[in-house]
Amino acid sequence: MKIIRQGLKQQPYTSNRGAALVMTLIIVAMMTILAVAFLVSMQVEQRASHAYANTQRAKMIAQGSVSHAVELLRSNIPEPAQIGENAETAPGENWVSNPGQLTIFTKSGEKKVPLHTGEVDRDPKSTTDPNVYSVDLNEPLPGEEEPMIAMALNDEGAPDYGQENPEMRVKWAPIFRKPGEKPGAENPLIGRYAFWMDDESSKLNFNATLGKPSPTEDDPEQFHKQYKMGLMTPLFRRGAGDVEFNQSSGDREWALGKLRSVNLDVLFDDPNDLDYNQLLAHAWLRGFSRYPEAILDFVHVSDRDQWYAGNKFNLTFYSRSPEFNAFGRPRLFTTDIPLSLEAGPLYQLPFVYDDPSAATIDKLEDGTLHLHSLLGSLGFTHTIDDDVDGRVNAANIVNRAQLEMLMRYFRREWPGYDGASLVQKYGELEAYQMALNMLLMSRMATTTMNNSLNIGSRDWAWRTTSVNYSPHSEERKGSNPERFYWQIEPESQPGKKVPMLPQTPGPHIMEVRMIFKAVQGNNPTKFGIQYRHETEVYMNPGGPVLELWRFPTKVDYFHIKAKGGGTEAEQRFGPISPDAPDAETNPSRNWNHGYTLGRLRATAPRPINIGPRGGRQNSRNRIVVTSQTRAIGNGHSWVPASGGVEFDRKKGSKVKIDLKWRLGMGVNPGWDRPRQMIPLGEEEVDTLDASIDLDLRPGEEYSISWQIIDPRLSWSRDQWVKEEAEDGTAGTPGQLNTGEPGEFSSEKSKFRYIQRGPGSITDPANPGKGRAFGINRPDEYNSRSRVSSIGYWSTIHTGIQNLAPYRTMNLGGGVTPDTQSPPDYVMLDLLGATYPMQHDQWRINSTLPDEFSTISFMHSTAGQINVNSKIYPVNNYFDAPVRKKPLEAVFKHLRSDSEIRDFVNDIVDKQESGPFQYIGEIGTVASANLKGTDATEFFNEAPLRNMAGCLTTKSNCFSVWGVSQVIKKIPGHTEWGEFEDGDTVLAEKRYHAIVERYIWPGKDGIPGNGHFNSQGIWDKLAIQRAVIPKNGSNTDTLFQLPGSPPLFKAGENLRLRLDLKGTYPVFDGPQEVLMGRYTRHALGNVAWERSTLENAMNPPQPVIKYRVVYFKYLDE
Amino acid sequence: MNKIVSAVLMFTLVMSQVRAQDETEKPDKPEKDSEGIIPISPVKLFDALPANPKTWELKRSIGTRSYSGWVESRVQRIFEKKVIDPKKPDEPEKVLVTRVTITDTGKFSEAIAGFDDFKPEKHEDYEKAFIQKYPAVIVPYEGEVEVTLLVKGRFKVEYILENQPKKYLKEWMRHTKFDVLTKIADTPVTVLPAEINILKIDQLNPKKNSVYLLATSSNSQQAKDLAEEEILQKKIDGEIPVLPGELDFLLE
Repeated sequence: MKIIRQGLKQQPYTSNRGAALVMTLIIVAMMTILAVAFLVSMQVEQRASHAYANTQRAKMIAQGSVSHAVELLRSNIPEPAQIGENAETAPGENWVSNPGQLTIFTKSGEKKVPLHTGEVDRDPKSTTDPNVYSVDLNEPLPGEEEPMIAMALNDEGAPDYGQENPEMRVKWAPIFRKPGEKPGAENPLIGRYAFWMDDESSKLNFNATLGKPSPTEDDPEQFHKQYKMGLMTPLFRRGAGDVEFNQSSGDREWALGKLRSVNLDVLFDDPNDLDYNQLLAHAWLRGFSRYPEAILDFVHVSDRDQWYAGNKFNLTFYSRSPEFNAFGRPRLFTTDIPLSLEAGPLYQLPFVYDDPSAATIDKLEDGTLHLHSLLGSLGFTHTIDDDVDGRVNAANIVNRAQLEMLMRYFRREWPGYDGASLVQKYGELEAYQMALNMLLMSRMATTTMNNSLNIGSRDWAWRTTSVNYSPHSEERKGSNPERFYWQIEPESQPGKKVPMLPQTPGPHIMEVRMIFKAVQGNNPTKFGIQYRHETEVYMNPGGPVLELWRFPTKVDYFHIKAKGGGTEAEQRFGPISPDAPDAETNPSRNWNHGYTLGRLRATAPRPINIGPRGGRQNSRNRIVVTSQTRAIGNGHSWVPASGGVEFDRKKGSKVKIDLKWRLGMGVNPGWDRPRQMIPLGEEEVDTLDASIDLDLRPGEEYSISWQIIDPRLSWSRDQWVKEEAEDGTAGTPGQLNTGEPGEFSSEKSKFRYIQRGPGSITDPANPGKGRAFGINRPDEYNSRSRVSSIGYWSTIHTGIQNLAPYRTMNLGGGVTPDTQSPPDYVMLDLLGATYPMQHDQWRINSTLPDEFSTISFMHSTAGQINVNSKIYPVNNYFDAPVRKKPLEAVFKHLRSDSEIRDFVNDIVDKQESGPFQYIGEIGTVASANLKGTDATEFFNEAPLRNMAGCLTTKSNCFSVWGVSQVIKKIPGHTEWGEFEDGDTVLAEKRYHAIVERYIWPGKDGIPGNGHFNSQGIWDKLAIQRAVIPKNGSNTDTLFQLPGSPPLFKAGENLRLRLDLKGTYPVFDGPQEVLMGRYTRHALGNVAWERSTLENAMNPPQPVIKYRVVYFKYLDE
Repeated sequence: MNKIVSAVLMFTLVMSQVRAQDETEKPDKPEKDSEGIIPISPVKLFDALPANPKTWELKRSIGTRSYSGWVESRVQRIFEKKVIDPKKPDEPEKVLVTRVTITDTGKFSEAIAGFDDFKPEKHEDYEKAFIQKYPAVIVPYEGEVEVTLLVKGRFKVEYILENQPKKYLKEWMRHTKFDVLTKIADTPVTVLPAEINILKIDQLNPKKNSVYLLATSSNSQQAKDLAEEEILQKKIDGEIPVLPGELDFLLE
């Protein structure tokens, strides 16, 4: 202050005029500057504000465009059938998806629905701005090089980094100021969007896939040896850690056919660049990754960004495909009880519902009838007293209803095959036979069975009879085995009953021989005539090793007459006809009768084991067993060898013997049940017969042989070829039969069955040499499951009634093409594969399941690869690369790389004539069949058979790749409804969304009922009869979950069983559902509460909804 | 515990009733299990057969091992000779046929029952006598004589001479090497093996040779199986009480 004052004092006085002006000017200038600055600032703010607003508008348009995409799907994909509709009445509308296109197949033809905003019909170069009429969705963001959707791919489907990015251009969809009104000056174009929908199921889902080992890999499981041996299924090891339910840590085995068999490593130059262990451990412990780039955590390549850019077109983290058949009904899953997520996506649609208020459509009873699974093993312990003073097996009601259900499908005209049904193709009887075959095979796939040689043989014997038919307790009482035949009443032959037995797995009788011998009595001129029979028993490839004594050959009818040597003898055991007066009283109507037929059986001694060729445990695949020696006599009892009628040679040196007999394979235990009948029938004409002249000379044997080419046709007497020889040498005992295909022939290559049971097997081509593999494969809950693929049903015989030996479900590969409609492979569409848990979600404190990470959930399965890989639209401006790697991944290492390449190329090429309706169609491409010595039907169809469960033709998940713009028409432009060259784009957003089509589990969002009580416990759990300890080490924990059926703990078994006296979680919705009287005893009870559909927490009607499971703006 | 005890008691009671019921039904003649010596290979038996005697043509030479209640090895040769009766030169040739069969019965009782309590005797239709110290049964038929000898109580040697006088028998026996048979030592008597090699050897047509294993089981095992199965079925039908867990294998 002082200095200032001094300074002021030192200044001389001068004039201060103008200072005010200066000051004013300065102030004005400053204010002007401020004002201008403010104005400029305001302008910027306004522009920013407009830009923000426009961006928000663009986002809203983008979100709206996703709704458009969903609407395209929702309004075009057929809804599932109503629960009141059955296999006969459900609409037959099949649909398939491709990237960019839906195709719906109806009776009136095909309907194609583009899954994008429009195909480009004007050259983008015709305008200054190429994006006037269309937009390239694959165009990189400004300043970047990486394309949005796909990099160029080479002929093998791998990224081609040197090529230009492919153009993927679609038309814009306009948005007007007043939507729904005509465009005009007051209603100009204000925005537009474009999108294209990719099919996520046509990509590799890195959460679900892993990969089979290569042939050159150090593989302790020797997967390729198993594969070459024809094991069903071969097993391999991949990935570290505890990966499945009830399996000890470190066991990492997978069955070929599980989704983990799909080779994700096809995306790498070196398969070791994929960290299998970490990827699997992540899925197991943390669940599925939830964003596309998460794959990079498991990839060890030098330039991960480049790798990802090149491969992202083949990758997804979320793909699901529907488990509904072409008639809109849930597929049939192979599981013994209606468990929910662990075994497959059953819950909450485990049953075929039959509205009790509707007419009785299943004939047998009202209400819920049967499982959406191919049931075989339930309920034979539970009988119900009925109105006619007898008992009936509850589960048999279910089995019969399932037979009816399958027949309804078989009678249907299959979508895509004009007017043709399987009944028309095969005939009604063969269709019935095929349905029976499927029922028994499903039983064999799911029933529990001990694997020790002794007890396992017992279980195999019992379960492989016609046990899927169980008569009423009063039905033909004492008539064994006749009362256990399925008595089919074909619609085409009213009033007729045709007895049938289902196709059984081995062992089978291939040849029977009857041997007569004259034996001198004490008076050397008088002879008794002894007889005995031999049966040749055969075990098919892959069959288990079994104790043969449990499979006796029993005689069901025996009528012998002998005349000569001055005397006559005749014996008849068994009624001559079911209509005969003694049919209900003759003690020999029972083939075990101890004084007649029971003494004619042939049983192997205890130490003899039968097994497949190459089987261990001292087994052989073809064994001849003799009966005891008996003598021809008179009377009503069997006659020991030393007894019988004496024929006097002095009165005639020859005796004429007439024989009619029927025999079959029974089981022990299983007193009354048959496995195979020779032939099947009840009239005397249904017998093997012979008429011979026997020389009364000591020591001479006379033999008659009956041989069959395919023992599964043994119901028909005409299939048994007779041969006689006076020296005892008729037939080919112990050897290949006359006309029988060789063990390694193509015809016999599919003489197989669901692989399980005791024993081990070495390479059938070098029996006894090299490593032996256990035959048994675990159940459906296991990653090594015996039913890892629905393709294993291809071993079902399709020629039993039509007498076509060794004909099985044709998946291609055979000598005879399947030319008649509908093709056999449509049957695969009825079936769903089973999928073990991929995630430790069931053990952690009984919390909710992680549905996101569950492989198969609510009839929607993750990771299946869509064979419809062709990308639409197809034009000059949409040049998406051909997607081949996912298909290659499915079949990788099942053949040589070049063979797989040819196969994939053929699959791709075939789509030029349209999409695949059914996965089985890929078996018809040229390269499906191998050339060379391995080209048996079994090996030709192996890729499809093994991998069928990893394939689909339709998707539930779609990637929406879109762009949205906010538009301003510039002055002078008056085409109000269109974007004109020069119009202004005010904002643009690019996005990627994944839309999922799913079955709504109810308003609580939980399959089953998710309501808590005040203690935090699910209060609408299944009601079971006993408290199960919650300690997960004692049992599994499924019973605690809201989607669980009623279960109980049986003995020390970890696996819980269905509690047939319990009640399922409460179902609700507008349609009443219940269990019928018999079904309730077989499957447990269903409770139901009325509600609106919107308020239902557990509706049994499959309700389709859509949700966005992933959304990302690509330019943020 | 009491329940189990009572179930066992009930089971025993019902079992005894079942047996009693069985006894009331048609009597079942019990069958013994077969016992015997395992016969030697037919290949060795061929050595005992006559070779090809001069002027006779060997028409058949087969060996078999078969089963007929017991294992049996058997070889047979058939010789033929065509002769013209010098007294009747205009008549067609006469065909002499000789069948020589050796059977190793393994001392199976049923196979040699015709020689039980053997003593020489004559009957209307046949004769029993010792021929060269061997017990023999001689049966004459029209144009044919059938002679069966039992050697060592085990081997049946059978001659069937067609269109030949009985005296030819000596000649055929001279060609038969009985010492081959007598030198064969008996092995211990045993029960029926689980599997038997069924053989067919055709020395004149070796392409017809064949072999297979035949699985057998005993009479007593069959009877036991039948009885056990019947009881099990009654348990399944609820006619007999069941022990806890006994039928669990039927459950699934």
